[in-house]
Amino acid sequence: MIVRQLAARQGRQFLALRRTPVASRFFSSEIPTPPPMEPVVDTPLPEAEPEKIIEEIVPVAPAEPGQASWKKEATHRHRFNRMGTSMKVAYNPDSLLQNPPKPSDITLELLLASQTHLGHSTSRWNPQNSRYIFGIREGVHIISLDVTAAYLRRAAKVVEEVAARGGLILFAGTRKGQKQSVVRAAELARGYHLFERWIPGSLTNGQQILGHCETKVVNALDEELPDFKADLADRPPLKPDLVVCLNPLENVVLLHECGLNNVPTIGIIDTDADPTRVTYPIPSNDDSLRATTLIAGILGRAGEAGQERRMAMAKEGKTTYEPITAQALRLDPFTGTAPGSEQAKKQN
Amino acid sequence: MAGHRSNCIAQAMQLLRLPSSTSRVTVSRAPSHLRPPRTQTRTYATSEEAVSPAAPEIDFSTSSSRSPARIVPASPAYFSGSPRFIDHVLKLEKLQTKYSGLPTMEASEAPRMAWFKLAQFRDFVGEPVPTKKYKSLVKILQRLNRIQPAAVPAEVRSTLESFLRPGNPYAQQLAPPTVDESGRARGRGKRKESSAVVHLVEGEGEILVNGRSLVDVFKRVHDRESALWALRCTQRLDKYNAWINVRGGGVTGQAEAITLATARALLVHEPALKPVLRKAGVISVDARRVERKKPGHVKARKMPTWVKR
Amino acid sequence: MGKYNFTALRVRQTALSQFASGKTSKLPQWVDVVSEIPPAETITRTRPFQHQLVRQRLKTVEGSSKPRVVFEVQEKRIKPKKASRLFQPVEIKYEEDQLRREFFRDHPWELARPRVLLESTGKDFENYDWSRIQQPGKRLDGESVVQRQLYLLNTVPNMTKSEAYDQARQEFYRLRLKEDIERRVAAEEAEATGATFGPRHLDMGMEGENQQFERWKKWAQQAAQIIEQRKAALSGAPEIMEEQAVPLEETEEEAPAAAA
Repeated sequence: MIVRQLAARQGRQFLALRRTPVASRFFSSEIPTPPPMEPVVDTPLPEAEPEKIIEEIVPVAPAEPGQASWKKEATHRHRFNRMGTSMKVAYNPDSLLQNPPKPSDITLELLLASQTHLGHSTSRWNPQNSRYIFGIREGVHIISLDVTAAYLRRAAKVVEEVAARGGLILFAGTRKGQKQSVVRAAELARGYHLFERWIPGSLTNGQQILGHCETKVVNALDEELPDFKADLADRPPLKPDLVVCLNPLENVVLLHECGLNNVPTIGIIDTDADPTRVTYPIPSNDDSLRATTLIAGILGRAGEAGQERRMAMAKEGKTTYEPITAQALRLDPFTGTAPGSEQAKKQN
Repeated sequence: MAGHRSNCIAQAMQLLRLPSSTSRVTVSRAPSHLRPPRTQTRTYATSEEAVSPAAPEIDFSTSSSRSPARIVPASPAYFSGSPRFIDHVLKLEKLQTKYSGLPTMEASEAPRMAWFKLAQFRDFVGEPVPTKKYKSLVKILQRLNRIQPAAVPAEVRSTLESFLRPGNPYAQQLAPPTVDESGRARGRGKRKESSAVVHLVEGEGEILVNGRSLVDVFKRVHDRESALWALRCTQRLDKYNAWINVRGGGVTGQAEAITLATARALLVHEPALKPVLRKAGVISVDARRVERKKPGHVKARKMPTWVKR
Repeated sequence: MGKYNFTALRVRQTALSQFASGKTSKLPQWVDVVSEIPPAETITRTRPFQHQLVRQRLKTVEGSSKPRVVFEVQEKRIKPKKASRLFQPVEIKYEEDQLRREFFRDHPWELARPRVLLESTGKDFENYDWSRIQQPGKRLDGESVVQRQLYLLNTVPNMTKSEAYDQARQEFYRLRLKEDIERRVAAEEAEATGATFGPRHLDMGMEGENQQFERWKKWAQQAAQIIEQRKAALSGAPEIMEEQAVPLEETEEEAPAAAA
């Protein structure tokens, strides 16, 4: 504190202060009277003059909140925004998030405009991707758009079918900026999202890492059944039935664990990624947020279609998967025996 | 495995005995790898006649709404390992974007809120939340708290309230210190290991430190000057008498503890001097203390000299 | 497994074998999905796309009234490819590349103009018709000249590159000039009807500089005055000091000597 003020004390201000004679007593309670101290003459900086500052400390009324002006502005906006010309073909960056295209809307033009064709520098390529590469332009590999479209449709089909069978679909995109698209895709497909780090061991050591996370029992219409809450206590943690990974390069551990747990994966494979890491590669640019948002949106829409199909069937009382039974829920998940099976053993 | 197998019959009998509120569902389907390959053309998600080709449909009995079908995670953030925390963050972010257009006020004017402390928040969500992530959540809370009180939507208010710790620690304001009946103002200050108590009275500039004169106690001019800097920079040296008790620490620490204590006592007499004193740097507390020595180090940070062999 | 790790591609086989061996009690839901939609082969190498530069020209033939479309393919490289490079992707070439390079070599400052790269639908090209250089929804720039030149080369009989370049460039210059005149006229009209555009960036910069100079002048005068006053306080009245400027210095020099 003192060191900070050293300059002020040794500098011109201090000289000025020392030379100023103290005229008379002066307290802040006497503010309204004119300042009795004679002003310091040769101080160039105003902050060294206490009397001047005290003059400024006039009790200020609390600032009027901008409430009224804000309200006025809002009504103006509401009234006048619809008037005049309107931009019809303006580019809305959020449209891919708000209203992502369906798998049937995939066109090569859309993929091109979303920059899915831009690969990496030719020196960084993984030769296993050679079949997805159209050519070289300015030292950059260009990914073949028709291949991208075909693989993307195939992946969308997989997502839809898994969703229709009530599988758990995990959307993982851990790069900066992929959060919104991942959350949106999970929301559409009624799946699960991961936008922060994948905790290593979430699948292989699930009891430790996901053990405390809540699960619930639902009926075919996805309504929660609270009666079975007690049966969930000692269940092993759940595993996804399909993992969609937007950046496989950074999520090697996730994909490795999926391999160990035999979970199919879908991944965006850029020209520098290894396509054998995932079950269903989507050759595309994974560095452009627009491209990854588009792909996540399309897969989310596919999942949405699958879920709708499942719900429509559930309303008719049918399922496309084998539902868990109340009896199976009551069994011990690890030994497969009923809670009171000791007695049964004795009887045997 | 063998042990489990032997239980099979017992298990079946147990099943029969279990009170089955729901009727059994029988599944009659062959494993897919045994069935002949299908020849149906593939359809896209949008096509109308996209019927699931896989399993034959299972007829539910009448009470299908009460029979369980699946076990699913309670939250879409299940696989992140901290689903409840992430649900909170997403909810708050949604609110923030939704109400980003509302008028706000300065952070200094916003009502002071006692958010959960980190440990309390961990108990609240029941997950080990890292400090950094909790800080980012508090940042969103602060932003929502800056919406002008008249414009705060009920949704935001109720959400913010759920993050407040029980009781309101900011409800009762401490009474501002006043000059006592004999005209004394008391101020306390600490610096390094020293602590000082100053009693300030209107007077002619007499100063006693621990019963001795200032010159006796502080031999260095610099220390004398810094001890009385609060009075000097406001030109009040000859208007107050000070009775100072200071203990602990060294000379510099004592001098600067006196600075702080004097400034605080002076503020009791003249609250309007606060900006001047703030600018002079005498009412900012210097919270630095001696850093502890660590094992493996010579001092707090110094490492022993590296010796080859 | 060797060099490759095919675990991800063999999820279905693994699931079936685990089920058959009794490791898992029930098949996962996705097994038949994966069997229906099998993962693609990933490792097979295919011959990459071979891109050849094709030029389309219109040429008149003696004896027929209609010109004939001729496609010229760039001659093949004499040096054969190395076997190791057989599966490497090939450079993509278009005729415009050469035209573009020439135009921007001649007009390097065209590259400094702002340009919109963003496409919302990717279907902007559907609205373009290069029989004229101006396009709806596209700003006139170097790319317009290149596309117009290419159009001329492709559709006008016996057109040479330099002729097409000259024609496209002329159209471009004329439109640029027109734009410039329109802009100036619009500004003049607006000013005549009472609009004010405010100072230009250059004027604002000069204004700021002048203000700073005035501020400095004020400060310098004050500082000079203070120095004067200090000197005067040391030596008494300023007039006397000025008069005795030289002798005073001498005495000052002498004083320490005397003290010593």
